Formats: sequence, structure tokens, C-alpha cells
Amino acid sequence: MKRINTLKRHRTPYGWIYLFLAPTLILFSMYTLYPIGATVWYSLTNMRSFTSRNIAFVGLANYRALFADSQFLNSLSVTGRFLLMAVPARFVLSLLLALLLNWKRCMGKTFFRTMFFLPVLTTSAIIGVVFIMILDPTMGPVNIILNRLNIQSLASVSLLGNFNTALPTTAIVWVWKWLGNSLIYWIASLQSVPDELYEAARIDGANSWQLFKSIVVPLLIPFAVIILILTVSDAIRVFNLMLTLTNGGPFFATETVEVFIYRHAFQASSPRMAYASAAAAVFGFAFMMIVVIQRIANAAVKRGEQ
Amino acid sequence: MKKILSLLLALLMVGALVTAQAEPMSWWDQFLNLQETHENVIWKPFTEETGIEVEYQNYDAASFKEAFDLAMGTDQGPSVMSYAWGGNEAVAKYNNGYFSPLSVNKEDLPDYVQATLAEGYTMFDGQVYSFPTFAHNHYDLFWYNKEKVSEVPQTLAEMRELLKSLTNAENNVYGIALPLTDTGRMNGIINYLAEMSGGVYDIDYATGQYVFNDDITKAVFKFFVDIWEDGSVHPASTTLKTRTVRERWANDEAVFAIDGCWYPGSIKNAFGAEYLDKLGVAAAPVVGETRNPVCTAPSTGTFYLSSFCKDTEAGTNLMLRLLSDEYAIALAEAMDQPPLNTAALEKAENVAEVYVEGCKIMASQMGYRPEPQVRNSAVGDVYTELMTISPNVGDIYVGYITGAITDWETALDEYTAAMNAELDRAIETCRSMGSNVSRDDFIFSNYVRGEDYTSDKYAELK
Repeated sequence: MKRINTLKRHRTPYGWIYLFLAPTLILFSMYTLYPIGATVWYSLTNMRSFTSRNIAFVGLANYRALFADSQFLNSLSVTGRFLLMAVPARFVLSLLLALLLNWKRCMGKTFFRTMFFLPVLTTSAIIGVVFIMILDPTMGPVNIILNRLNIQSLASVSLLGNFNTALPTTAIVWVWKWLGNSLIYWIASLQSVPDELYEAARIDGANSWQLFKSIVVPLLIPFAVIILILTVSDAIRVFNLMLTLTNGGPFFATETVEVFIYRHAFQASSPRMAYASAAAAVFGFAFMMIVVIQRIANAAVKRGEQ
Repeated sequence: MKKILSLLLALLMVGALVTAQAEPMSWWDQFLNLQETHENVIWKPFTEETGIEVEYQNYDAASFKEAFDLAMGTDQGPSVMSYAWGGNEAVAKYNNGYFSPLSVNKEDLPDYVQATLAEGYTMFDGQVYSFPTFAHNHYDLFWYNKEKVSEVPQTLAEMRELLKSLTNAENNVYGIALPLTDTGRMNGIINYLAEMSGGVYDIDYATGQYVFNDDITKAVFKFFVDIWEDGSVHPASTTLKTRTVRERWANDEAVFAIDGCWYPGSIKNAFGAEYLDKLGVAAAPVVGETRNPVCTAPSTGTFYLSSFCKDTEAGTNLMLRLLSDEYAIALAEAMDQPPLNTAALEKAENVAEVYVEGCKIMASQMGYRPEPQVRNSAVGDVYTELMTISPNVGDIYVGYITGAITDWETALDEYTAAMNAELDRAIETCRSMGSNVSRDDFIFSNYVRGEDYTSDKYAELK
């Protein structure tokens, strides 16, 4: 009796909320938690494909093999270099464009915002196919322009087919495709700065640079952290663009960890599902670490503001 | 009320009819050129006879394997599928549960089909799982523009000079275009050329060792390096696939292309029959003066009933239609893979002379090599255990010409060593699990390179 009373006392008036949360919780468990759990389990076995028989537990053998595999280390390096090239470029370029398009005297704002956002709506696979044509070394407009500009060192190069130029080229295509996304975030952030602050600063004699440095930047920092996290998250998930643009080539120059996982799980004539799962688990863990570090940095910034 | 009840009853009857209708058979293959032939000769008559619809899905060879493996994990695979893997991988696919057996005995099949069946390829545990519908062939024919080339040389050295003379970069014309994004295909092209030049495709059956670094393979590899450095290879090749190479050839950007017997059919379907007027074909040039045949293992089946096929009787009915004369003639007329029943080539109408010529060259070039799995069926376990090693020869070529590798000879040495180490590991793993296999199963002391290894030769070794 005493227990029933205790239960009644602790019963929340919103208990039925779990009924409404149930579909999300069930679907989240099926499509997120279960695959994560299954990936970790597969990585501890010798499973070769979904139809493998006689699957045995092998402990950390796949992880040991992974860190001794120069191609996996290469894919980590490719992913890291892609992040270093693409994330700052998208972050800074979109901010500069947002400042321009948020400028009161800028003409055709709506037109340019739409134009920059259009590639975001286009499927990555289609962009991949179209850019192969655009970057064709003999018939593509990019090489024709480079040729007319007398930049011979690049004009005769297959930008996607050269070991040294393939990764920067894919990074440029990726930045172009997703620039509009960050642009929208930045414009929304800039529009959240109250006009009164600008007016007050102007009355105090502040010029444009001082307005940017002392008002815009401090107010945008929390937004910047979020935009950075989202940009890094997008830059890690470049699988479909890489697959259609270069398929990880030439000679693994653009093989990011995602493409590496896919190659071992599905493209190899002799698939290695467990090995690919180990790579996926390591990659997932690394990504979680990036998010944690960013959150810590965000908290530190907030503490600084206070 | 009565009206409502009648309506409900009618709906129930319609529902029952819908559910009683036979489930369609799904058919996946990479033979886009044959879609119309299959539609008219196989699928439509099958549907008329059985009431079962056939749903078609096309993939190119590389995507097919990925799509099928993904389908295996999500229970959405086809009923009938083409075979898109390497010859000695059939056992691995069987062991992984990819196939369903046909409801037919070996003795019920025509003699020319029975002659091609082999355990571990088209038969497993004595049951027939498939049969080849295409003649034994490979993809190393040299297709060229007759308007620009009158005679194709016999040696790679002469070929290099010809390609150089044909190239005019200013006018965007190159000697040859290569499908370098498909490094698996490039790997095959180099290894087939090495075998035709008197070397080996992969394993030297005198020693049972993988060999990718012998003088002949290096000479073939050097030929491809030289033509790249000469500027004779279309510079877009590093982003081209087999299908896009054909576009460059048809657009007169490349004079030569390396492809299989299906090249005329592909060109006709993609660009029009008028392009066949300028198409010529020749056997691949080789390192020296003599040309050996390409010797392969017994053929795998062209199509298999997959383990997703729920009605194997109907599936067998569908598959056996692939053995009709009508289909063989239609295959020849589609100018795709050469039909297994070669008599159909004579009976077919509206077939381009260049296609018949290509098929004849191919028929004169093919032979059988020893197959360790025929000698010892436990070798199938080793094939299942073997892991893909990369970079392969095709990868190394792309790596070298794109600047990623500076010393291709060392890379070939390393690949050879890695392949042999992997074979040793796979054999050791299989032995530890009880398989009676050894490296000796890969050594055939009575094999003469370039000669057919017939079934009686296996008996000589016992």
C-alpha cells in the first residue's frame, strides 16, 4: 500500500507523453541504435558478407589489422586533408558571401541567395556526373579556359584524374555544392543581430570594420560553433559525391574512410564485412570525438562570454 | 445495407484474385544490349505461358556486384541474376548461399552444354546450378577505326609506333582510350596480354606461384607506360569507364579501344548502325612474334537462379529458354556475347561482318588451363577464404601514370609477394579448419603453357 502511494506521488502528469515518443524511440532504435550495435558486433567477428556462414568471434583482430593497413591509414589521411581544405573554405567563403548579401546596398539579394542555394538541392550523384564533363581534360570548359589563359601546367591535366589535383578538385566541387547551406545559416545569424546595436555604434562613430569586429563577431561566435560542427559533419559524409566523381581514385587519392569502408564491404570481389565494420566503428568513434571537442570548445567560449 | 455488403464482397474477391496472382520473377543482369532480345525471346513467351511477369533491372558489371551484395543483406535480391564475378569465385558465392539449384538433370541438357559443365563452376554437389550461354571469351580484342588504320601490327613495339603516329592532340585525336577508372578491367587487359605473349595470367602452374613480375608481364606493362608517356593515350582515360571509352571512340577522339566481342553491338545500340561501317577488329598485338591462346578455367554459368527465387520450377523454366536455337540466333543478331551454340552465327541475319570476324578471332584464341579446384574440390574453400589484395596490376598502372607510384617494377614485385602470401595464408587457414589442401594442388607438372589442359591430363597426375 505504501509502495502504491509512493508511485502515485512520483507519477508525472505527462506520463502519456511516452506514448507519443514511442514511434520515434522505436524507429531511432531500429535505424540508428541497432545498426551501431550490429556494426560493433560484426567488427569483432570474421564475417565476410551478409550471407556468411560459420561466423566466429575474433576479438580485436580486425582492429589490429586495420591499424596495420596502409590503405586505411591513407583513407584517414585523405579524410583529414579533405576536412582541412574544404571546411575552412566553405566556412569563410559562406561568411563573406553572407556579409555581402546582408549588406543593405547589395542589389539582387534574393536572386543571388537562390542561385547559391540551387546546388544544395541538386543530387550529389548528378553533380558528380556533370562535373566529370565540366572537368574533362580535352573537351571540358574548365580546361579550355585554363588553356586560353595560358595556364598550360593545368590546362592539359585531368584535374580529377591526377593524383595531386584530384583531392583539391573534389574539395572545390564539394564547397560549391554546399556553400548555399552555410550561407543561409550565416544570413539567419546576421539577421538576428538587433539593428539598435549598429545604430548605437554608428552614433558613437564606429566605422564598418569596427562594427564587424566589435558587434558582429562577438554575437556570431555561438552561431559559428554550430555552423562549424555542421560543416565538419557534412564534410565527413562525402561518400556519394566521391563515388560518382572519382570512385576514390586515382590510386586511392580521394579514398575517404567512407569509400574505404564501402570498397571492403561491397566493392571487393571478396568482401570483408567485419573488417569494414571495424573501420566504420573507428571512424564513428573519431567523429564523436570531434563533436565532443567542439562542444568543449563551445562551452569554453560561453564561459568566456560570461 | 445489401449494396454495402455486395461491395465488400466484390472487394474481397478482387483482393483474393490479386493475392492469388503469381509473384513476378525479377531478372538482374549487366547485359543492357540484350534487353530487347531477352524481352522478345525469353520473358514475353514465358509470361504468356505461365502468367508470371518478369521484372528487369540492369546494372553495369561493377555496380551489379555491389547491388547484389546489398540486396543479400536486405532480402530484396532478384530471382534470376547474371554472374558478374571472377571464375574461381563461384564456389565462394555458392558457399555464401547466393544460388538455388535448377530443377534439371545434367543428362537432360544438350551435349554441347553438358560438355561445358564443371563441378565448382556450374555444378555443386552433383546438381546443375547453371550453364554458360556464351562462348568462352575474354575482352582483349583491339577495335579500331578503319578509316584511319589499314593494318594492325602484330607486336606491341610496332603498335606503340602506330599509336604515336595516329595521335594529334591539337585536333583532340589520340591513338587509344583506356577504361582506367575500372582498374579491375585494366588488370585483366594487362594480364591477358601477358598470357598471349607467352607469360601467365596470374598463376604459373609449373610452380604454383602467382607471377606478376616476370619479364613478359613487365614488357606488357612497359608498353602501356610508354604509350601514356608518348601522349598516345586519351588524357581523359583516368576518368573513363568501359562505356565512356566507347563514346570517345565513336566521337573520333580515340582510334583504338580494347574490348570484347560485344563491342559492335554496344556501338550500334548506343550510337547507331552507321558507326559499324568504320569499325575494324584485330587480335591483340603481343610482345614477341608468337601468340599463345588465353587459357581459362571452365566457364561459370551466365545466369544463376539466386537464393531469392521462391519458385525454382518456374525459374528453371525461365532459364532453360536460354538454350533455345532462337535465343542463340538472337544473341548473334544482337552482336553481344558470342553464343555458346556457334552454329547460330551462320544462321543469324543482319549481323555485321566485323562482329563475326571478332567472334572468329576469339574462338581461335581460347583454351583451357589447369584448374586446381577440378583436381581437388577442397580448393574451393581456399578460394572462399582468399581476400582481395590491392593495389593490383591495374591499380599500379594508374598509380604510376598519375604520379602516385614512382617505381612500378618494385610495386609489381610487392603485389606478387602479397598475392603469394595471401594464398599461403588462405591455405593455412583452410587446413586449420580441416580442409585437405596444399600449395601442391596448384602445381601441374604436365602442363605446357599455351596448350589445352584437357580432363585426361588430370588423371595423369594421380
